[in-house]
Amino acid sequence: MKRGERGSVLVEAGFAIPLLLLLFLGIADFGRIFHHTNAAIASASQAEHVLIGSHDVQAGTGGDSSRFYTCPNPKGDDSGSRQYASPQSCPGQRTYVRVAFRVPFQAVTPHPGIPYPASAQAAAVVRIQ
Amino acid sequence: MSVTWRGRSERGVVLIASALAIVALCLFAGLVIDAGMLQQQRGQAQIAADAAAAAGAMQMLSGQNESWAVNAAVDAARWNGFQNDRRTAVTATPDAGEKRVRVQIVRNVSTAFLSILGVRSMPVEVAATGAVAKNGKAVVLAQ
Repeated sequence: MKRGERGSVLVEAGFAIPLLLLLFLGIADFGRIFHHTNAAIASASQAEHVLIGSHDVQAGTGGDSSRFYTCPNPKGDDSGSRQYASPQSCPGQRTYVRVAFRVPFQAVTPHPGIPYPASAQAAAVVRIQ
Repeated sequence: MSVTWRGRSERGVVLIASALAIVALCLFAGLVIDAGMLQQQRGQAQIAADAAAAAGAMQMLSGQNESWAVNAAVDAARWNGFQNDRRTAVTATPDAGEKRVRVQIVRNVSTAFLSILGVRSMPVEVAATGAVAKNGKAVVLAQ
């Protein structure tokens, strides 16, 4: 190595390594968001099937917006997730039940300019009668 | 140990190598992000298709005509965020004989990073068939 270049590699590495580290951590955070969202979607999908299969099919019995349904947690545990069910009424005799799953999310490393969501969520709306 | 190449300066070598690595990593990360987005859209579309198929099947059992079943299915899909528009197609096909309704949802999902490579959108296609079981409950038969 020529005289005067001593340390230049170190300085360049000092610029590059933090950038690469930021990139790797960003990839990890995006992966975590996807994982959380997929878990919420899977939970909503399973809850939807529970709802679909648990109601008698009868005509003209809808419109009862006071009915409230609690969905079982398909994962079997409550760690890191919240679940709730709320009825939604439509005009006429249609009643929908919305099941939403929200998984809190916190980024490992905050990235400038990237607004990470506070939670990953998914919902299913099922018509009941 | 110092490494030189024909006595030339090594200044900038690490920076250039790192820059190339970052570009490559960004491209791969972008591909993974787009794939993840597509997968999530597919999951949401499947939820909508299942709900739509079940809603349509309910109408079939209650003796309503086919157009009611189609309306119910399309309405349920809309409640789940999928309605017919420029990039989404919701199709409900009732079968009065079998008392079944098949729902198909196709959506062109815009890509974020793949558009750099010329792929601006990719189609997500899901389907579900709703019917009514003998015990009088709606079921989703197949996806």
